[in-house]
Amino acid sequence: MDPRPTVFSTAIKKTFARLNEFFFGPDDTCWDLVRIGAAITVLLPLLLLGVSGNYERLYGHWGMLPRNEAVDTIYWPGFLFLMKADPKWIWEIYWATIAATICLGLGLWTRMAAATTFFLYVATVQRNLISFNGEHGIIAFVLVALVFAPAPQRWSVDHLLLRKPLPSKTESWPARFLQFNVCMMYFFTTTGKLLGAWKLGGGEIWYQITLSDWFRFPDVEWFRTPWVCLLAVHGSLLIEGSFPFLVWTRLRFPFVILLIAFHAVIAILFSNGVLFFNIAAIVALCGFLRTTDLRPRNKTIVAEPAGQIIESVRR
Amino acid sequence: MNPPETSNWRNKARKVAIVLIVIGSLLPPLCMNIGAYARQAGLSGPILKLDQPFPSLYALLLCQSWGLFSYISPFNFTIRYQVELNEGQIVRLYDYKKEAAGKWQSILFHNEPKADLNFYSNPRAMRGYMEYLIRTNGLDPASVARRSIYLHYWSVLSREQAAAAGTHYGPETDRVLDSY
Repeated sequence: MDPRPTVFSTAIKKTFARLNEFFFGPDDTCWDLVRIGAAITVLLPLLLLGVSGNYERLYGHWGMLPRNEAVDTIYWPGFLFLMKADPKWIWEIYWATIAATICLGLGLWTRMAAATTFFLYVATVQRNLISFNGEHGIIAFVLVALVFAPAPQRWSVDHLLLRKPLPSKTESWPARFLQFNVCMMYFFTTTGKLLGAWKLGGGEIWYQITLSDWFRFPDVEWFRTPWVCLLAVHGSLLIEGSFPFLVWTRLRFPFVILLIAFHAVIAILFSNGVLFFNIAAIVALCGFLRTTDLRPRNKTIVAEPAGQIIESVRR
Repeated sequence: MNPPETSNWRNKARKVAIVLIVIGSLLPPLCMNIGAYARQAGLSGPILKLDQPFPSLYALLLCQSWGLFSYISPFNFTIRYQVELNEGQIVRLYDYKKEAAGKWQSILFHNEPKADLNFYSNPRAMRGYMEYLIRTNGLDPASVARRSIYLHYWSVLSREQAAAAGTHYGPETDRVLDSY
């Protein structure tokens, strides 16, 4: 047999090497940001639900979907709420969710905390799907990614107080899972907008949005001027639509920052109803940020062949 | 096989399994969204079959139909619940937990506008909520002769219509969503 490599075999080898690097190369994702952000996005609405009595209203045995009716309508994670007939049972789940989320935010037993938070969070939403919102879909895949993300993380109780060493070898596939989900979200959102009411043209949809109950400033007329309508519609379609493609290029960092700013602006301009959705989207976008993005330029990270990350200072 | 060789094979098998699981978990939402939007685009053929339910992933909220702000209703609305008692008295029902929040309602019940959208697309849940309101308003369900759910709405006029009418909003109107 001729041992010389053919063009085809070389191409295959290169592809596999790239794929290997893509999924299993060293991971320098800002997991601390994602973890803390996800915990806040779960915790704050949960506290509001508890304080307002809305938790009992939505998920209680005698709430808007009573226990005996829920048995026939909900998906299996929600059965956690139906396990005991005692109405106080839901509060035990509530406090367990809060405890798990605080552990996640602090980075205490991170993986276990992420897995527990994920299950309790999903169980809560499934108990009554009327409470389901866009942010739940985002936080669900973020929490799954956190279950498998490298742990302990730098800014975590596990590392700082319990002295668990940072992982010597990390892999990128949990980050890729999160990133693919985010890309899919923006791609299909743009598709949905283009097939739906977001017609390219004069930006009429933005005009309507500014007069809807969702908009915080319906009395400010200049938000409806033709050039603002054009900018809002075409700009958002361009940013969201090109993100899933351009985020894999050198434009990743500025594009992620642009989209984070975009969601921050939406959170300000729109009612509280979409606040936590935008926070959830920002948290998911943090999954594209690398620890090296936030360091001074003269510091670089060098990955050794074994996958161990060492810092070096460029002279 | 010697130990390094075995270890190498195990490592490769592990990597293949991980890649398959990651991609496999992404395929259902990908297929569902492609199928759903193909249907919406008016396409026909096998592509529509991609829009299949994936209950196991959906139960874990990992199979979402993405379409953030793709649609916005061309009117502002509230949903009103009303009952007619056996003796003919009409009673409008209130959610006292929401009412008790007062000026904090937009913060404490920040997700209610979205819940209303979910109700709007789920008549069965709306009927369930009606029973909850009957209970919490201190009424005996047996004393209720008729339950009515109204959509109280006011249209948002287009730019041209608004210029002609001198206002951005149409008149406030009620529409019966359900009466039983």
